[in-house]
Amino acid sequence: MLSPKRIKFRKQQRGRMRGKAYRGSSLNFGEHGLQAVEPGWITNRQIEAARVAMTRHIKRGGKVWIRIFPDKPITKKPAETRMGKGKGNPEGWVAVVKSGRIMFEIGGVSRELAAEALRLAGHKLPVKTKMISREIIREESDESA
Amino acid sequence: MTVEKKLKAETRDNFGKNEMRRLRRAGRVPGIVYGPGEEPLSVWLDHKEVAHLLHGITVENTVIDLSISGKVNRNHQTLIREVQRHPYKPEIQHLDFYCLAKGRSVNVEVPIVLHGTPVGVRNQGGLVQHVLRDLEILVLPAQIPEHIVVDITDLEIGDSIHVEDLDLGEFEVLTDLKTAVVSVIPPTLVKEPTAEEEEAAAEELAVGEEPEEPEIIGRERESEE
Repeated sequence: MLSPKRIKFRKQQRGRMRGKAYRGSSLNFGEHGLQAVEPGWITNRQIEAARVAMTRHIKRGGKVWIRIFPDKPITKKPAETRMGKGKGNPEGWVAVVKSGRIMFEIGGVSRELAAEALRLAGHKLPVKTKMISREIIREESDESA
Repeated sequence: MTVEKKLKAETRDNFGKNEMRRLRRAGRVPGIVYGPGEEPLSVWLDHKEVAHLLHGITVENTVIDLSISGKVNRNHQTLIREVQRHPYKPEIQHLDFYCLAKGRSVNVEVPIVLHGTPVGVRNQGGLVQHVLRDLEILVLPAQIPEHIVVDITDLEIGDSIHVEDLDLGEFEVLTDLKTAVVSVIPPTLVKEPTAEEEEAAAEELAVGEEPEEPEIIGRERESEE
């Protein structure tokens, strides 16, 4: 599972997820991608589950790119512990995702296969997602007008 | 040469984010027109018209005949230099138009179109990896190509085509010549997991193992001191 090899600090503050993802919001590698339309924390387990769902569905051929990395440590206090006594222990890693972020990309497969693979991957994630394709970018602009 | 398209624009006097938000709510797209020897001119366009136009063209290399009305009335041969879109909604937020001057070369990004099925894909099940999708060239406005076709039928697994391999005739290429355009990579084979393996993986995901502690930068030095 994805996690950093070296870090500067063991614990981080939670932070806020205001605004939109202007960086990482366009397709750079494949023909289709899965875009977050709301912000959230994606754990390394969820990323792995989504990746497995996608690669299993496309079976052979095609390539999957993961565009997010879980570099934020999250901490948790043990169960039945009184408040206070400092911050909890690091329990996992998350990627901070803002709306608009492309999380996964797929290339080298048909549109139908990519759509189904991305749909399955989207179900493993805690944020609302939508599929985005190189052709769709233009089609959608037309629909909204 | 690329097909010329027409677009209408009107000059505007309002600036700033609040005014622009009002403009967008009214179904308009703010834009700017600039170029060599031209004073920058702020304009607005109809969103529906722009969206319809952008749907059918490659933005970077299509010459747009922009007819501006309002405070000034004139026509310009332009290239769209930038389209600002909303990160996830189908909205166009701003357009940059670059005026073309006769006899003056412009740098344009021309899309690269792949032609044919490589041998490595047909016979060995390889995968085409299209790395570079646009090529930046310096060209006279009248000679802007619609696209550049790259024949990939002879590529086997592990082969790639670089910018320097392309036959581009008289165009001056601005993209680095060593950049790979397309390559054929070996297929990724996913082994079907057995029922036991699947169970173990599901368990691992559900319960989870103790997270491996990463190395903390600077800790070793501190302990030495």
